[in-house]
Amino acid sequence: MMHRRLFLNSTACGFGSLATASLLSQSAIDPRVFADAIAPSSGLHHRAKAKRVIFLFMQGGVSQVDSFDRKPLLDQRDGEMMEFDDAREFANKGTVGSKQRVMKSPWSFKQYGQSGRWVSDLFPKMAEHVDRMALIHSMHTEGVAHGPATLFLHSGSLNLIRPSMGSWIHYGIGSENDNLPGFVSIAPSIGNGGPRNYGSAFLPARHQGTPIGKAGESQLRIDYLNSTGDASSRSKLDQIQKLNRLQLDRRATQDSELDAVIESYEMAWRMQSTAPELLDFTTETEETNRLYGLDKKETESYGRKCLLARRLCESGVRFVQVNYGDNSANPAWDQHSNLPKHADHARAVDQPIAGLMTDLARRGLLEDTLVWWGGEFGRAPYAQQNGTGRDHNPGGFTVWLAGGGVQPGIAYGQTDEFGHRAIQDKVHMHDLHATILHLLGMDHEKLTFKHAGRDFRLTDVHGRVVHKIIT
Amino acid sequence: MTAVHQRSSSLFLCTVSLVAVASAYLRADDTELDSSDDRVVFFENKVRPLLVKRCLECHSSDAEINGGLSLDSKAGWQLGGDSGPAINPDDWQKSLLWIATNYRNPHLQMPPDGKLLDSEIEIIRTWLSQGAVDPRVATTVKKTARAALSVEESQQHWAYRKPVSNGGTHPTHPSGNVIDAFLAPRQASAGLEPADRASMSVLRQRLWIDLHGLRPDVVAIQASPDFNQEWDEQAYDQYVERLLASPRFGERFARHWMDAVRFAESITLRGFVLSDAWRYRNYLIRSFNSDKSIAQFIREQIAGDLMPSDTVEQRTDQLTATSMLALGDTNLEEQDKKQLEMDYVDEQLDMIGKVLLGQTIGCARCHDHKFDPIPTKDYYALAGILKSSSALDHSNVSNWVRVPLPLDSQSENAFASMTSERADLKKELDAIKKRLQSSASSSSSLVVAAADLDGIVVDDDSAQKTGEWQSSSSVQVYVGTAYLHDKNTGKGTKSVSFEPKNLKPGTYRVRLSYSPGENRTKNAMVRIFSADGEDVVRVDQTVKPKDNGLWQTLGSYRFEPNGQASVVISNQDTTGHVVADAVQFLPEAATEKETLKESASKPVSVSEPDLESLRKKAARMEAEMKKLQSRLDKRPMVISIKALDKPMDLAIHVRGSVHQLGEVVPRGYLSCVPRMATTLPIGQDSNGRMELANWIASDENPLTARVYVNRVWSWLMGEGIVRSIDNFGTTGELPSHPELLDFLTLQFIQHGWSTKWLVREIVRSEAYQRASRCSSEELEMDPDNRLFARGHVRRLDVEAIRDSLLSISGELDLGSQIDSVIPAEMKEDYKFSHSVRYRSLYGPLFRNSPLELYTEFDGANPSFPISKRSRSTIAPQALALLNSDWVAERASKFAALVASSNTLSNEQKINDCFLATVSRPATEQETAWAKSLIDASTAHSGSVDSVWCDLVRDLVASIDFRFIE
Repeated sequence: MMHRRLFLNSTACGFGSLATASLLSQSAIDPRVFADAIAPSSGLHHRAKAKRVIFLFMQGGVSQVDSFDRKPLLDQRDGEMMEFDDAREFANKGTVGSKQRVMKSPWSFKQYGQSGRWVSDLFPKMAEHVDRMALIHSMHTEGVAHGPATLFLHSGSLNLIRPSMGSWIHYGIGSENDNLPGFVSIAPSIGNGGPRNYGSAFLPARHQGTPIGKAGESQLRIDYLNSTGDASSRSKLDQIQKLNRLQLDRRATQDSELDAVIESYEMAWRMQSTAPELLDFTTETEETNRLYGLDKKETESYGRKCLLARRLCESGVRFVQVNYGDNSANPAWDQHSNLPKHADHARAVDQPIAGLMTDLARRGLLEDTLVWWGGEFGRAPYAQQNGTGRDHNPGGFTVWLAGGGVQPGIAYGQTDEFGHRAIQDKVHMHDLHATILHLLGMDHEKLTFKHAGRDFRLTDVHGRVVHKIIT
Repeated sequence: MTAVHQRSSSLFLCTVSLVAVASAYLRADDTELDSSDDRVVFFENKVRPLLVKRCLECHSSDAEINGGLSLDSKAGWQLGGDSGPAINPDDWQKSLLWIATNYRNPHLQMPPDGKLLDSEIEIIRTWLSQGAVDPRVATTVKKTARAALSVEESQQHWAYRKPVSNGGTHPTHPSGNVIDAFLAPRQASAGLEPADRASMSVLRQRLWIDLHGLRPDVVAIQASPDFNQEWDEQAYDQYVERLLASPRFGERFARHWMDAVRFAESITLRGFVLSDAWRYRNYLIRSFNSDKSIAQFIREQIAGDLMPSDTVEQRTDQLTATSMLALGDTNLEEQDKKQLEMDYVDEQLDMIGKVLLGQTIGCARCHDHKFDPIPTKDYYALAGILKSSSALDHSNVSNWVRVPLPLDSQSENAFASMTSERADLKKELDAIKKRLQSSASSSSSLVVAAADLDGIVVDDDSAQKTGEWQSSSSVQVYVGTAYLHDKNTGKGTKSVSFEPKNLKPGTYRVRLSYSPGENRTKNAMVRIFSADGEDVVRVDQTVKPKDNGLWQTLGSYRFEPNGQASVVISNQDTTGHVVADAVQFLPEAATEKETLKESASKPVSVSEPDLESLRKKAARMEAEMKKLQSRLDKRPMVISIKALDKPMDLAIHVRGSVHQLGEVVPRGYLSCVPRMATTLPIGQDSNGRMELANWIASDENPLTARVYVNRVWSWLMGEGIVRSIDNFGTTGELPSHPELLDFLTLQFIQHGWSTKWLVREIVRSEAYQRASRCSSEELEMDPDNRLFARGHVRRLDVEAIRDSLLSISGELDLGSQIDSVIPAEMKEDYKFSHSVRYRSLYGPLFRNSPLELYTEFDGANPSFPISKRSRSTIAPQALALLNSDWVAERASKFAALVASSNTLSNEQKINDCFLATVSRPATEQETAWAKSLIDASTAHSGSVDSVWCDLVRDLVASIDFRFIE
């Protein structure tokens, strides 16, 4: 066993094959639990209710009072100047209580499904799935500006460099498919933290997220994966391996690191054989294409990303993030001065997300796939600077979860009567992280990694599992 | 929370004790309570159930004691938690319990998952206002503190004790090398036979990679002495000297140091380009090439700006060195600027601790270090020193500090005269403008058509109005047919939003038009939403707009595609009429032209000829000023930090929170390091950074030289004598050969902290020169090679892979200390495409757009201090080597050179390919392999170039290219 540790630390040929093993070497986990963890249906610390996650990231901050958190009082008091505790003012100046103009939602709300949840006209298609969702109305988080809040959402830290949630999950339970990366971020934005949002920070590099495509570009591709390169020809690969074996023999020394090089070429070959097929949608039916909105210009872009997410999940990828964002420091959903523009973004994502939900459900994937929809924060119920938009609001907003282990058709928590601050059953971003780890069979207090002299966690010293939304 | 609580600070001071029992409080004022007392009844009926239901889950000694507070006894809340006593019976409204449950302080809201019901708050009010009667008696109230080493105990830890010299004596070894003498005994006792010296070819490759970071080029291979056929120590030493004297040496060692100090030339968030960072990189190269004393090197990086200097070059180095403190990957956008500043200092401390002292100081930000003797007060003593200098200028997005570099006296004078020239011009120009303004206000009366104006003009009739606005045309000048005013009513409810259509991305001068008048507001609120966030400008509408009486410049702003672009005028907090007429977005490039054109035409049509000439003069002067400014902007600047006029001591931040302050601690050093004779106390008015620099770089400091010597050892020997290179604390690893480390450290200091001396000592040892091959028995006996009985396998880092490929293809430009390769106009790193052919360390090293292959091949994450790069072997590396166009291009360039030769045989060509890529001739089997490849490939493709290209690419993908024995 003398080389075991060295081997584990240096030779992850697969993206995820040895992820759990690294965890074992890092913290004292009962080996029986570890053995159990290899069986995919069991979690690392307890039985998992979900095997994988699709995170539909609405970058920039969707306004909760214009989408899922209906507040009739806004209509009644529209235009009135009232005192609110504005988050930005508090962060900048430490003052609370400033006069703001209450602004009603330009969209009307309807009730949907058996559960009768209210959803605005922004998301009529998504609304048809309310009976599958657990709406969390009482989210709150840290960070008033996009950069800090986006990093916080991904890594649980505003400013310090920490591993992304997907990296933590991959580190904890690895991947189900050795031929593919275990953590994928589709079309990530380069702004507001960029690669840090899918980075592994101090976790070993193999837990790093793999970006497919970039925000603002239509092409969905993985770096260095192409059908014409040398990795696509088995005979060329055999040539290289022959030379490698000659050189290895010549060294006449046992060296697991060099063995790993040979294995890495085999793995590259397997990836090269698997991944392009995954990115090739020609096998999908017309009906599926329409379901995701690929037939319409405004929904085609996000639809392709959602469809890819489903294909990745089917292939065993552990964490898929589907970004709706762009490459500026002021991301898509960021309507400071022109709230009606929310409608453009809603149109772009509504059909694709509804299609994804339908598709996951009919394929039986929804049972063990956790779907998470939301942004880095919400928006204020009043007009920003008395204008026609809404400023950021980390104090209260809505996200929804659906699928593996989530109670369907419920609403959890509340904001105040204006939809500004979460007041009841508050769920902090740390709590959401803890809950997601829990659903995947991990205890957020036990999922640790030793770095710079101490054990680190995704949730730092915070986080509480929200048991009430779990089945 | 701003209140300072004495209790919390005193708790922090008793860090050494394990358990502080609050016995004093148990006895304090427990007068017997009558159980029929109304207040006791109220407590039992109302308060106790409420506490149980809503508080005790987290605040009881039976469960958790969150924040150190237990509410299950009177003594519990009297003693209080980290923030102090929970209830103040003498002034109940100031009780933390009251403040927290009322949710008025966003940082202190309890219960955290939702506010209590009004009826519940009412219960608390009654209870507190009646004196907080509480009959509950605690059995024990424990504050569990943790058990770090005491300062006295800590000084027994090896790293805090001075290196031992053994009276200058040391063991000896047949090789004559002291290092071998120190290593031999443990090898012998483990029964390990040290490996033989590696072959000449291998040693050459090692020296090149270790000292230059490159594979040896073919010329070097053919020209280098045969120092191994018959071991010729002198020839070897000379070879080492030649490599040490080359500018490549400084580049290689600078690259190592850049990892350690998380060097980068941009910031992740928004991709801001740190356009002066390259100067620091070149400073590092200079310092290593000139073998600067590492003590001085460290002093300059911590406090160069505070050191005296004799020459311009010296001053330049000193200022440039301090960039180290300012290159962290900081979130400049953080809105809580107090938080930002402390995060900034934390990042600096973390880096200084790890890189220079081998200490994880950052652990002590929120609580005393759990394992090492670093109490929180030491953290804030050090933090106070760094906080006494400013590294940021705050605005919505804060900015880093740039300072001018010194120049020779001639250039210095030139810049000085330009500066004064500009000042004079400005004075004169202001005077002219004033005259123009007063004459314009008396004479002009104009209506300007929007279509006549340059740039994009949004007039009031196409703006979005909120609230009731009156259209008017009574007071000229204005754009279009009319302007809007708020009728001086409905203050705070009205706004007009001007949003340009089809605004091309770029920088614009944004100007506002309004018709001025005495009844107007003096502070119309104008908000500009641009790519850089929001800006607020207050406009005095009683005075005439400055530009030709029509336009008031709001500022220059950047707009991005699909980003926000709007100007909103509101009547919030105003008295007097607020006027909204039009907004102009004038492309920056066009402004100069526009200024001329405008002043020459429109509003002047009614004025006298002399005014006309004045205007022309003003325009000329403005153009002149602009030119001057652009020349002034060329003054070389460097990223640095600025000592504050008044240094400050910091208060302990309880649990790291900037809003929860404890006791103020004087600036100082780590108390675990024994007091040194040379240590100076930090005077009240002294900044403290110079003292800190001297303390760190002192010969007496037991950590600094050891940490550096160990670091260099690891660069050359693969692993440190202490394997946790940046952690010499109690959680770090112990040195495998403590006497060797101490001996080298003392000698290093004696040799004036000379890096080259140290390198020479190490590479001349047999330990360095040993072959890496060994039997499986030997491997089993010492799998991690802790005894250094064999050589280690070197892996080409990503820079070496890239640089060697560029060198093979003949493209590498070996210029040294290259200036910035970033185009001056590049402000964000996102879209930079790397095409430069200098060595990789010249980058630029961007955090958002890394060099080709950088991510795949374990490039250092430039956001962290990195002491040891990870060594991963993963499929994406294989994919990159096989499929990357960049690699293919390098290979094909070299292949074309090989193929073009008419005189060489195929066998010779094969050999050339091997020499260039794996730095040795092909073996017999490899030649056979290559021949069959060429035959097959020729049959397949037919093109000569592509045949050789296939061979080169296979070689680059092979083990021997990436791993040196």
